Amino acid sequence: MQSKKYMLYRWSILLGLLVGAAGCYNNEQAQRIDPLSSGTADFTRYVAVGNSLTAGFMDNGLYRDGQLNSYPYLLSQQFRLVGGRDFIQPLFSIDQANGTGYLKLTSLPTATNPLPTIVPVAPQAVRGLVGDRPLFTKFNGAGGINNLGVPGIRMSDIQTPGYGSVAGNPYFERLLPDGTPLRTYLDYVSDNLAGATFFSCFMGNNDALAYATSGGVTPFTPTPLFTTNYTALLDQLTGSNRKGVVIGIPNVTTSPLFQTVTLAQVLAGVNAAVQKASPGAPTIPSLVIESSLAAGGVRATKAGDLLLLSQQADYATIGSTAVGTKKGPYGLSPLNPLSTVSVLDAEEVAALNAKISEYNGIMKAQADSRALAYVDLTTLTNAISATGGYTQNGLAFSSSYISGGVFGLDGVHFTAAGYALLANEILKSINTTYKASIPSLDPTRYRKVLVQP
Amino acid sequence: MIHKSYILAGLLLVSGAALAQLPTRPVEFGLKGGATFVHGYTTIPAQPTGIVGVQVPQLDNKNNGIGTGYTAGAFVRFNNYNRKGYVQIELTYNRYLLKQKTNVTLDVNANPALAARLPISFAPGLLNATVDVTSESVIESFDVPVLFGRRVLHDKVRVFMGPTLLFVNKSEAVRNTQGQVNPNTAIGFGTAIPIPATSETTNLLSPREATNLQVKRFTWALEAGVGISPLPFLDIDLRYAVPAGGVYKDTNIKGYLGIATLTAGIKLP
Repeated sequence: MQSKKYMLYRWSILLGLLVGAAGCYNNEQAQRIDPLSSGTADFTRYVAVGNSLTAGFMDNGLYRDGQLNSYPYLLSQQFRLVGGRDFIQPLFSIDQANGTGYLKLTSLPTATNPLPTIVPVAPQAVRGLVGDRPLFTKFNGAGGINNLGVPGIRMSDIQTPGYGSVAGNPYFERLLPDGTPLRTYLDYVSDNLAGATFFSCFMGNNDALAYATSGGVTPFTPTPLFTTNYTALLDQLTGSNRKGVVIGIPNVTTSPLFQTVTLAQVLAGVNAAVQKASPGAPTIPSLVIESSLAAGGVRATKAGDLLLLSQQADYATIGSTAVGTKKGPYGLSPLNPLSTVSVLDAEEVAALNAKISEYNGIMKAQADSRALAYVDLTTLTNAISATGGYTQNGLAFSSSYISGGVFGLDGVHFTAAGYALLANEILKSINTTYKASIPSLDPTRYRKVLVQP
Repeated sequence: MIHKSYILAGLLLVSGAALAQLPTRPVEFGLKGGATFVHGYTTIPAQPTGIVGVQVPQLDNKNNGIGTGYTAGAFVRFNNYNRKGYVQIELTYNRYLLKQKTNVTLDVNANPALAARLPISFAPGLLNATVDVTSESVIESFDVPVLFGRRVLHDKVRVFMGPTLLFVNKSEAVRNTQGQVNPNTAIGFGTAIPIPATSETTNLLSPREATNLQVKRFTWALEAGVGISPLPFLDIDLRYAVPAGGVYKDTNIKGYLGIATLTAGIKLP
């Protein structure tokens, strides 16, 4: 009798241990409760409207790897966690993966070559030429396309018939179904909105960017046209009470396109060459530039004038009497000033930033009045431009050319990691506006500027 | 005198319960506890990665000293089948610690955490890194040994062996990594970059975190040992076990793992 009682008692020790173990498993499972939520938005079918950034343009070209890292595609992968479905992009095929061609980096600066080695990759998706302009392999989007990004498109272009013809924008031409060259971009958006439950709209950059990249030559899109077309686009996108996110234009002058080649650098190079030719010659303090806003159209450079990464070949000819007006050393004589397209003067920078603010004001007002999410990219551009950069998961991203990780070889379009940073800003805004809970991406896991053979 | 102190200690420990009689009672119960000592090496075959042209090379994880853990639980011993033989079943909770080290040179893309920390990306084949990794892997498990024993040397010594079932409750690895990214002057990467020491904890039961190193939830071991009873109610056991059922889900992982256990058990009256 006694021993049986003890037996029960002792077995219960063993049972107690087993129950404890089972408890552990339960606790572990309790932690796996799904915290994801689409909030008040519906991401079933997401459609992205925009320009080159939306298309995944990278390293001065549109190619498959860039497309596969476009921010809309990255977003669609996160939307999948909260009910999003397939996201069709007008990808170049694997056989034509190099697409329109792009720039690649084959070497960082070496002991013998102080510049990075950047070489062009030949296009694979050119189906013909119109004059000297290429036409690209058409994409059959009969089933509907989700990424409607068209590199180069301005707000002023969206209602222009023929913009997608062989004489128009070749990136848009490849997307339009055969025999419909007069469909406008707005028509194209409308054609692909069937069943769409959510949209993003990242437009307007090119209406300001063209002015910046041309050194202030190409005019801005007039504000009334911008407003009219933007209203028409958002009317279309918000039809059937569709929700979405509007992305403002980032400050483009903080990109490596305008920050890599500096006046000080160029002047140092010029002075070194002068000293070599005639030792003891006085130091040249500034360049002479063509500036439509200055008296006489010519002035000396000053703080705030920006040089362009894309004009390095032109800067290499400074001092030559064989270029420009040939009436004196190029860029050093008032008779032969540095070309206006090679400099974004301080006054033009001010005009550019004022115009971007104006466009952003229009877009934000429209977004607010329609209760859409609005993304102000100032926070991001300030963070990556700040000293020390923008640290994410142990890696400091910055706007430095090549080494900063954010911008590709053209100095203005993003790398995959840059697109991931952009996607995270958009997700923050969506999560706030629509009370959603969609996890952000780890930008360090996406590729930065790629060194490749 | 000695005998007297035995009795005194016994009285204290069993709080006045009847002393164990000889011959041994048919069924004995007890609680036990002690230390575990683990050593071993592992060879992990080369693994493909998600990136074309990049693989993680074969890893030779060498023993890096003996890892110490604990064991605690209860046992029941059935003596009534045979005068010298017995069967003992236990339920214990155990912590095993395996300490290993390895040195490996691999493409930076083969280590996503390393590639993520570089501000520039490199195509496969352009840049490699040499890293030293020390790891401390822990398995905590509920073990059920089923041991067949025999009393020898005038019943003074027990020898036993049998299978042990292991129900793994927790398993994680703490890896400390340091090394350098090796230079490749051909692409302008002129100087080595030190990889600062980092520590990473991986849940070896999670397929996502552990990948090919995922540890089985259930396995079995073969165990053998000897025991003595310096006091009638006290068992001192020394054992050695090898997890014959394998520790990793991936059967391509080869190696050797040995677990020594030293325990003290107290029979309850």
